Amino acid sequence: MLIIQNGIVLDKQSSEKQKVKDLWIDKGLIIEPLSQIPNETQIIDAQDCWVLPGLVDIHSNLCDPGFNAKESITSGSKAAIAGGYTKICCTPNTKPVADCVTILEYVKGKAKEESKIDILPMACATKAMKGKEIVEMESLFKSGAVAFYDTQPYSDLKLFKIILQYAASIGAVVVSNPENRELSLNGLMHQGEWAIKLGLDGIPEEAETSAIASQIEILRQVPRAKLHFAAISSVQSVELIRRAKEDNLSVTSSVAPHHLLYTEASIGEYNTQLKVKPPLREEKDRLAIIQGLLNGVIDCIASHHEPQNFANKHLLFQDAAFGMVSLETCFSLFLEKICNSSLNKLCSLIDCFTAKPAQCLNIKATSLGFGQTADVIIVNPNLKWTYSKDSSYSQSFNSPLLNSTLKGKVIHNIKNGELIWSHSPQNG
Amino acid sequence: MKHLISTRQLNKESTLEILQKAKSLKTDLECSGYLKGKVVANLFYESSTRTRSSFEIAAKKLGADVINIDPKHSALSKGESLEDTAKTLANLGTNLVVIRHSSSGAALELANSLKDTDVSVINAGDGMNEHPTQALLDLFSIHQVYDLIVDKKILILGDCLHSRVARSNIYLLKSFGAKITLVGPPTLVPLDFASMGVEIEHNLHKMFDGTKQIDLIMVLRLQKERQTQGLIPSLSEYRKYYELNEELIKKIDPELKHIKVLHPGPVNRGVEISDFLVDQKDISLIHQQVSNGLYVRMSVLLKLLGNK
Repeated sequence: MLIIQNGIVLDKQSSEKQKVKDLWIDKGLIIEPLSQIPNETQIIDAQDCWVLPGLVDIHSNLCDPGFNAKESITSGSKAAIAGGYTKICCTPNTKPVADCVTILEYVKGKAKEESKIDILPMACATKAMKGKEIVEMESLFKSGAVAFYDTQPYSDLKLFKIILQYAASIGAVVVSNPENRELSLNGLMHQGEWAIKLGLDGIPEEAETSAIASQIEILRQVPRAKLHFAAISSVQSVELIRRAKEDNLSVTSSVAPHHLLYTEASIGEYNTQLKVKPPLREEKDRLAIIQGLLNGVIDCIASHHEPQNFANKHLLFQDAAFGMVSLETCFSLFLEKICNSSLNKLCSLIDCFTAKPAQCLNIKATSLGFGQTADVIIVNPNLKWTYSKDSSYSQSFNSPLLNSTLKGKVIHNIKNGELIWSHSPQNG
Repeated sequence: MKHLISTRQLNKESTLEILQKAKSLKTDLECSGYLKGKVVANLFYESSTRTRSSFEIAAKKLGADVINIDPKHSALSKGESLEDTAKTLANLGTNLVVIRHSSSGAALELANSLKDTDVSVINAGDGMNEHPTQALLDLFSIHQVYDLIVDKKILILGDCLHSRVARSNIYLLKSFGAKITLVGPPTLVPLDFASMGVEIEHNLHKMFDGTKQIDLIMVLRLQKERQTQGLIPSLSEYRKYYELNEELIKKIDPELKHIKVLHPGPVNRGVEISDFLVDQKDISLIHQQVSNGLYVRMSVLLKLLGNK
């Protein structure tokens, strides 16, 4: 038995969405409080803290197998736990890529041994992620592939339709990274005034929007297909998805935390930590994305955790790798910069980290209702902490936030009713 | 000033100081002792004849020792990062590194790598970003004709998108009050340049309809690969609509007396500019640009190294 006392419990299913109360957990489930506290009950004091459902991430690159110098299931899972996640979906762009049952079994097996939270692997949509032939989708789905995703953009629309048709027939979600490579080509950052100023090749907005528009039109022709766009970044993308939703198409989308906070201007003097794909765009795009989150056009925030080792980022901008780590900082940033540390704001947006990402990929949502699996996190909204190499669990530190102080921190992570991690003040 | 990476670093005062010093160096017979004992390294990752020679002669005229490192044929390049190359040069006692690199931001990166040392860096061209000494020598050449360039109308004609010369000149000339219009095909002069405070015009011939003031035209080199990249239909089409030639200039300056023409070189005669104009003494400042470049670079070397 575990009781979390005196915390403000945020439970959107309950009539009182935010209330100071005790949360009782027994045998892995959230239960109704008993009249008396039994002996040998573990008590966690959550005074002045917020008690939330465990977070769900649907886009983490754990680089395992194949790129263990950057990250592994072991390190990535620890980073996720410290970031408040209790379920994460890992991308299939490993080496070898996750296009067969053997690799899925490897990921699931290693996750079972090394991770205290759920790690749900995504599988490629095409063999070797080459965009030529579809994978053995049904076998992979039955082996636990949570969704089908070529992180390399889909360029062959005929094949894309086949992927959607197969996925629809087995009830699986297809994930897309909308990018038209003919348009993005050798681009390094958003094509706009900053690319001109810095003398860097640009990635035009239409590289993203044209891919979204054409894929939506294919989706329209495939009954029951379900499509998720990962990391959209522009005003027009939000608009295209809004219209598709209005047409009752089964389309969802996520956004990466960095697109909520930074713009092309943040790159300043060639800061390679801000070299990401899709690129950081203009202020109008940033505002449109935040608006899209608020009004529900964008379903959720996914970490888009993309580890790169020092050598891959410590290069000239042209040569540096794309991507940013974010599992450990994503929720803190969201609390501080998007919710302004306000409980009411968080209450209206917490679904973007819990129920909605789960819905996007048809996985079971976390919730604090009685009888639910006890995936719970406790957050100290006022705790200031420094994200540093010493405090980090990830093997990579490619983040513009390294050594900066953030406000708001997950301090306990409870998975299946068990306290699996607590923040210790000496760590950051 | 420790480094010269961008013309954005320069204010009017420091710019004029560099230009005045360059002017005095032309007749200074004692300059050969000014940088005695200093070591200048030319680190050119991109091939260059005129800029590298110009820097080499400039440094030698001031008495400095010059080493030329060609990364393509040196052990330094074999997988060595810019940062490690910088440290090697610092440890060898180099006082100043002149860098040219195909990647935008490389000069800044080199300067950052040398922040704990006394070694200075001059950006001799980084990718599409900047080429500050070119802009300084252009301004120096313009000053030989016009004392003031406030409200002078300057066209920068050609491939602005890929031009570091254009960017450095926009920053520098604007700080002196010049009015700049970029002219060229839409693929090479994107509208995003407007954010730098310049006008944009895709029709060269329209600029010569007699209604517009033009004082100076800076013609940029057209790289032949722009055609294979599909950015222009053909060289002959480009010539037809964007070549600067005497017929065009005569439309608003019949005597060929008023308008001045610059080009950073090397020139594609008969592509971006007509053969006649390049050598036309009343109009073309192109040959003077090269000799002015030498003194301007001497002046920059002195500014960065002279007081150490």
